[in-house]
Amino acid sequence: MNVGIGYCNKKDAFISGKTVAEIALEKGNINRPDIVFAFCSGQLDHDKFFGGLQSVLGNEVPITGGSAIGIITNDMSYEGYPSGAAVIQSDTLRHSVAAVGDLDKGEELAGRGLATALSNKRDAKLLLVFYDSTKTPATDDIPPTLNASSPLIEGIEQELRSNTPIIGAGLIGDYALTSTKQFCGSYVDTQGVVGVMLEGDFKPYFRIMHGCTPLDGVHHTITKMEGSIIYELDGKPIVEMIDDLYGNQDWRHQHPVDLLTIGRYLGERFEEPQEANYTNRLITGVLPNGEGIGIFEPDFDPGTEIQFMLRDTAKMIESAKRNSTELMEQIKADEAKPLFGMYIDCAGRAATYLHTTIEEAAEVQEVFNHYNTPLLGFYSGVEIAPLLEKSRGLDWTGVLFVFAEE
Amino acid sequence: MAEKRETLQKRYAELERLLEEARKEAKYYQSVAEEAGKKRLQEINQLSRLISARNQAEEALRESEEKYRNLVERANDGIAIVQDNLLKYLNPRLAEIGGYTADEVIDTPFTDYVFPDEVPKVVDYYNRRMAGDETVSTYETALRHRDGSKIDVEFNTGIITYQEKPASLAIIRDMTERKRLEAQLQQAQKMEALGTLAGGIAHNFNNLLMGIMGNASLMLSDTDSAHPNYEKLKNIEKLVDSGSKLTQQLLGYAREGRYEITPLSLNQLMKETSDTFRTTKKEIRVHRELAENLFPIDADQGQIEQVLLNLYVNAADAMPGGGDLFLKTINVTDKDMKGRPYKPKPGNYVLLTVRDTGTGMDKRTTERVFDPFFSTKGLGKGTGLGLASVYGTVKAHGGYIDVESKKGSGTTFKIYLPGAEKKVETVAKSARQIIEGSDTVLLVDDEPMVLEVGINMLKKLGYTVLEAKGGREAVKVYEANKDKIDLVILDMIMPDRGGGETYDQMKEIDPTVTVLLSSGYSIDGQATEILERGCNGFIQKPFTVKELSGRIRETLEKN
Repeated sequence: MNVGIGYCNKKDAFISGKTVAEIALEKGNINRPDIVFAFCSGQLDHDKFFGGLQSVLGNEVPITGGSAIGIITNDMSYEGYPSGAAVIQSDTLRHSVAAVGDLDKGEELAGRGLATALSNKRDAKLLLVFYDSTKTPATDDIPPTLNASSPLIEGIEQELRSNTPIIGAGLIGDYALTSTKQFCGSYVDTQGVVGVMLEGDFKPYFRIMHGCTPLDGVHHTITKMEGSIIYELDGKPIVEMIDDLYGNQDWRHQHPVDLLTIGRYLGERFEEPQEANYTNRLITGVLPNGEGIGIFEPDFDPGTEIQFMLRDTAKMIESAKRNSTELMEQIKADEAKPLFGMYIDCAGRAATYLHTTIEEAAEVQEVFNHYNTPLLGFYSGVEIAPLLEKSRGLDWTGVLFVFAEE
Repeated sequence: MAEKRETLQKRYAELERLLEEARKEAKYYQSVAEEAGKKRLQEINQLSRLISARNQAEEALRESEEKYRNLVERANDGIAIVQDNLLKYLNPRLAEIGGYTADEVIDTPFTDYVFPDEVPKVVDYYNRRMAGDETVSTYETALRHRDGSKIDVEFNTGIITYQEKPASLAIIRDMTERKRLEAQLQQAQKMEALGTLAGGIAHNFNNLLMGIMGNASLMLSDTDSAHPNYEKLKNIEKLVDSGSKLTQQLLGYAREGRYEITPLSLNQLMKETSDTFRTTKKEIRVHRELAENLFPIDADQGQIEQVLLNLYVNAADAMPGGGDLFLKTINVTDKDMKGRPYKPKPGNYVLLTVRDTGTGMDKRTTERVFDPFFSTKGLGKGTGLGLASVYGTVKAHGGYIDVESKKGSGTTFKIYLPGAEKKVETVAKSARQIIEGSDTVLLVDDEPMVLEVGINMLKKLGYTVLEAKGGREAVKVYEANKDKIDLVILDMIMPDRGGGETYDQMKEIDPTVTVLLSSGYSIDGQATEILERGCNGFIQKPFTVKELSGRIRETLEKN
């Protein structure tokens, strides 16, 4: 398997597409590309970027991916107009690409449609999915409505013949959560979901990087919730509870909220809390009338027990370093060879967003540079990865997976 | 049984109490946890804001540093920091000026890069400045280029703190271009002054020649060709003619020499003049490369012929043992004239190149080649006006001239003349004869000698002559005799009232007045303006009886 990574940070979208493709081909010593993963900043014209890629790669090679807030390769940036691509040439990796649209009309339906369209073999090793996170963009007054990963995954799993792990991302192109685009093999779409089913002689390894700790360990029960809006916890208005936690109302101006998240513990209720047993939900913002908060996924219900979680920068960096190191050591211990890594990193983990001075993605980058393994990463809205034996939509995580040759 | 029940009740009450305590304890620990969580969130939130503010400050600092770094590194002036007599910093521009790289000069004595003659002065200023004494901060000096050459610069110095110690900051401006422009300006001003002087001399000299020429011409007309004085008079006329040519050259240099501007073919002029030159200088091989479809030029034929002949003669003088003369014409535009010391006006130009394979000139001679009366040909061999008049004529035609020469490698003159829009018309020249007349002419001139000889010449031609010694008198005479006067011959430069004003007043008296302007200066400038206001003709002093008769008839018949 040959993998080449290209990166560019130019305003001209066509030139960016052309440049990343040219660099990737050169770096990977590739003359017959088989599949491409490509992502670009929401500030770039995606159609022109796609055209730039095709001007080098041709129209036959499927290009999958789409919008991203930033790009992580050996270069890393979410400022300016970053874009990146991984071009893969392999005789042993087999892929099947499919895409469906109208995600905003029903995530579960779209998921079923995608799984039906994909080559649905029992020995498939991995399904990569990239979808449009934004159902309706935010306005000055109203938080955005987001496409949910849970029904999408459920729809896919309904039609899959095997328990193929699903890894992927809900794409966002900027922090304002405006509309995004998806690269669907041979065309560019919006409100789309693109899937790549992978099979062949490779082994996928993955890790989930966390970074949130319980604020106080206190369990609260959702007592009023509609869709992705939580109104009450323990019979009390959640917005007032959060005001009390912060000691002021400044947090209400944040979209999404900087430090506080909502977590659901999936392990035993009173066990020693395990980081990996939490699914966290980003608070997208407060309703204009101050009566409720939006969360990234509408997968909680009244009666669900949650905890307030706090983003823990030190833990996040430690987790990124430890997990990426352990993953590569595990591959080495298995006497496998890492060929290519993809890091799907929650946009909220970026240093500029967290007001920190250290980029946690730099820890992953350092490990990959140490192992001389090509890396393509991007900043996303939602990360999808298997957790507790089920593929789930995650927030606030970094999902790292590596193709390794056995 | 009752005892057992009582025991159970006690135990139940005890359990109730313990449970209540546990509830209270749980509630207490929850509130402690909640308070701790709250405190943690608020502290992290505060810390996060501080980091955010610091990040913003760092970003602002980075932008500021970048801005100043750009200012320094992209400055068009050299910038250096000197501390403890050592060069501590120099920007890319200074490295470029001196031909050094930053790496090789940092931490070396700054005096290594000052031109040796200037070191004492620069060191003195530096020491006084660093000692806190009063000293000049802006002064001209010179640096030593890597190749040892001298670079004229201007220093603007001050004291700064660099790495916590006092240091001298110098902003260094390369003066090479400014010095060159200053020299060019001085040269242009000198040429202009000399031109004015030359024009004035030529004007006065032409008046003198007019007196001699007029008298000789009158005497000749009364002298039989067999008379022993006839040849002597003819010689006088020839000598005056030679003198007149000298004044033409002076006027040419003074850019006063444009006479009759018509669209001309430079190729045609080059062919004619170079053919003539070839016959006189057989030891010189003439090579012509003349462009097809060459733009015509608006020029005075006589003047341009003179330019060409002067250049040929100059080339011939540089090739005493013979050689090659290359003549070339091509069409160019102002865009092809980039990198010249002058800024050409936009438009089409004809480029005339005259190159010889002669002795060439050194730099000093080349710089003075257009100066009037500058000659390398030795006393009595050259007037020093040939190339000066070439310069003046080219300038007067709106053109540009460059010279390139190297000792032993020949000389190349490049002349750019503006292309004309009109086509060249071939005009047959008519041979002039003395034509007499009987009209009444008012002759106006402030020079008594010119007036006297003019009256005699006119009378000789059969005209009735009225005279005026200046502009004011001329207006009075004209007003009194306007019905009788057929033509006014009007001098242009007069002390009491100039020809222009006199003409305007005569025109007010009679709008149909016919006036022939005469001047020791040329038609260019003031005379052209008067002609454009309706004046009928022009004659340049000195003139012969024949020339005067022809010009009078031409003017009268035209009207």
